[in-house]
Amino acid sequence: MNFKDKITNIPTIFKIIIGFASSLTLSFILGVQDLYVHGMLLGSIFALGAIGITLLYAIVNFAHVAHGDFMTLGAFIAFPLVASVINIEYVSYANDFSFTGLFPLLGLDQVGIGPFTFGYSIILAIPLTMAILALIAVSLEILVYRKLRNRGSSDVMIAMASFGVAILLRGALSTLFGTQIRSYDRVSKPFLELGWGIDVPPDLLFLGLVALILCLLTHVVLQYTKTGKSMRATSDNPDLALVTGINVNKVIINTWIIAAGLAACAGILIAVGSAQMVPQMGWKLLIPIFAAVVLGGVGNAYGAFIGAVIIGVAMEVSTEYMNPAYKLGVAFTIMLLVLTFKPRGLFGGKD
Amino acid sequence: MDFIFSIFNYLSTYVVIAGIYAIFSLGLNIHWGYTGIFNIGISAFFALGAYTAAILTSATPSPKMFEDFVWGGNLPETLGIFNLGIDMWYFVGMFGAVIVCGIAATIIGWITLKLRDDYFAIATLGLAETVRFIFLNEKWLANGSRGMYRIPKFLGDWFPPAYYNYFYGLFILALIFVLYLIVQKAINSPWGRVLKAIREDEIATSASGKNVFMFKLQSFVLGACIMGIGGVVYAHGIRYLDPLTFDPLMATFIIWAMLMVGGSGNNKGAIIGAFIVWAIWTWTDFLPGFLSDPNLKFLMIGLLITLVIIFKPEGIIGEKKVKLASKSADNTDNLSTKK
Repeated sequence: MNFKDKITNIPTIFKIIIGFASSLTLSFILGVQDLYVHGMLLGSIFALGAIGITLLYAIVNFAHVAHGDFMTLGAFIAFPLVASVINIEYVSYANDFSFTGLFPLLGLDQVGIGPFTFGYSIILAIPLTMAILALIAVSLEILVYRKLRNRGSSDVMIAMASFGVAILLRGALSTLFGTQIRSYDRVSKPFLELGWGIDVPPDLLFLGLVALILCLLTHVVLQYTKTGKSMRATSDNPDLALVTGINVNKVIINTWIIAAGLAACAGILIAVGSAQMVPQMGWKLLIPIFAAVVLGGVGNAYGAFIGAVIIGVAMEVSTEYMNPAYKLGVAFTIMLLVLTFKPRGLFGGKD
Repeated sequence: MDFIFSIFNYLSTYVVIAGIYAIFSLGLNIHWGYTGIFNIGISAFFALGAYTAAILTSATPSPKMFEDFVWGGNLPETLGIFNLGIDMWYFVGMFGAVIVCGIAATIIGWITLKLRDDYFAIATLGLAETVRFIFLNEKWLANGSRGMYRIPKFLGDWFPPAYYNYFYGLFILALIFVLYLIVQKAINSPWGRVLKAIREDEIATSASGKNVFMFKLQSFVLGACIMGIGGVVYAHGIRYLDPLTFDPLMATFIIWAMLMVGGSGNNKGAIIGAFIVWAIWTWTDFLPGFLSDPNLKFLMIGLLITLVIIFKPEGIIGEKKVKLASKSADNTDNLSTKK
């Protein structure tokens, strides 16, 4: 047994733990532990998007280019729910107007609970937004993607359709809300000192926690429910699944619901975490998220999670050594390297 | 008389811009229409072509070129490495742009074209954003977000400024014609037939002994070079470049809409689509109130692409149906499309 075999025989979970521990130690040695923790928390938010894309890859077998815009849409659906004042200024239309959001109308306009910058309304808005976006995703599936599949269009054609949908969603958001930078109501709060030179905004801890809980929920759904089992069966072998009586269309709709729900949540979390949102933010998020999917192995939900955390850490830590504007370039470079040397990703996936 | 003159002026500007987009649309048609590779990073080649030409043909940094100086700042160390007075001839700039685009396309294509089609799409998207960030942040290279000014006109001394656009419009139309002939020649050659075969069935093509990867790479590089030429023509026509020019909307999405509307797989369709979509885009400016909102146009572009894919995937002028030689072959074709 040579050295390479010994390496390959270590169970994956130990490899992940060893990799995590050693990289964390390295970050302490280099003095970038602060950025490392930030990156992990951000990465777990990216993971929500990456899991959705990878599930769609596994089951519907196409690259969902509109996923970034799904995330933006999620952030913007929550906006009229939670914002106390919503100004709409049209570029070339005289009648600007403003109105009050739903939850503040019901008396939930308090922001800055505890150490956080936001209020209870965001927490209430998350499940509601997830449901609305899931509904939108299912109607898009029925109106657009199912038609194309029934016609026998190629996967690239369906990806192209999702590209059209991406532009459509972004255009709809710009038309409705304008292109100015917006944010949820917030009050500034101090960073939390965790010791060892790690300062994080309390928001980010909360957001990372929400993201982790949702990832765990997805894990439970995939492993232990009938829906999840039929999804995994369809992913492994669609023809066999069809023969054994699994309703593939239903499985696909379930996949859309999960993917869109996670994307909606990711959008809100990112908008809260970065304290701003613009209609074009989703298109840029597409790069780190796809990089995470490719790194973890396409079609592998667990790989997508780990990949997203790695990408998040790499992007944040890189800001110590180079211009922060090149964060996206770092994610892109990692993706190209993975595609060059290990095209099936770290944990293996579909071809 | 003035009124007629202003209409002609307007039309010449329209022809210049729509013509520039037609060049991109032609390039994209080679990628998507003939080979079926999904390039959503057109703006990368647009930017590389335009900036390369601008850097190569601009005079040595002079006070006139940079806004910094106008507003009292220091003359930046812009174009530091090229500070040799690369006051090059127009066609040298074009040649350089084609080379740069070709190299970028070869690198990206070499890595991703062996893999699934959608990896390639994401890689082109990543390239587009990276290129834009580089030009935005590397001030020494192309003056960052302030952009490059006073890029020389093509044969600017030969024509009085008032009539220059007429000349440039005619020049672009001639260029489109030449590029059209080149692409048409390439597509109707055996090489082009292999591309179409790849689009229809990759596995069957490689089974008949063709190196699918090399053909895809060649197609990608050829299309990217044509896009680079589009960028060059843009730089000398608009004479101002900044990273915002290469926003995905105006440098990628709209070109996709042009190709899809005109008809992918048909070069005439690609050119006509550019003129139609640009007409819709600019002429809606005259609509009253809400209808001329630029964001609404954005929405319409997305709607247009989606609706064309669902209801009329072949566009206005689709690809010419190839006549099959024998009747029996015709029948098998019918059977295979029905399934």
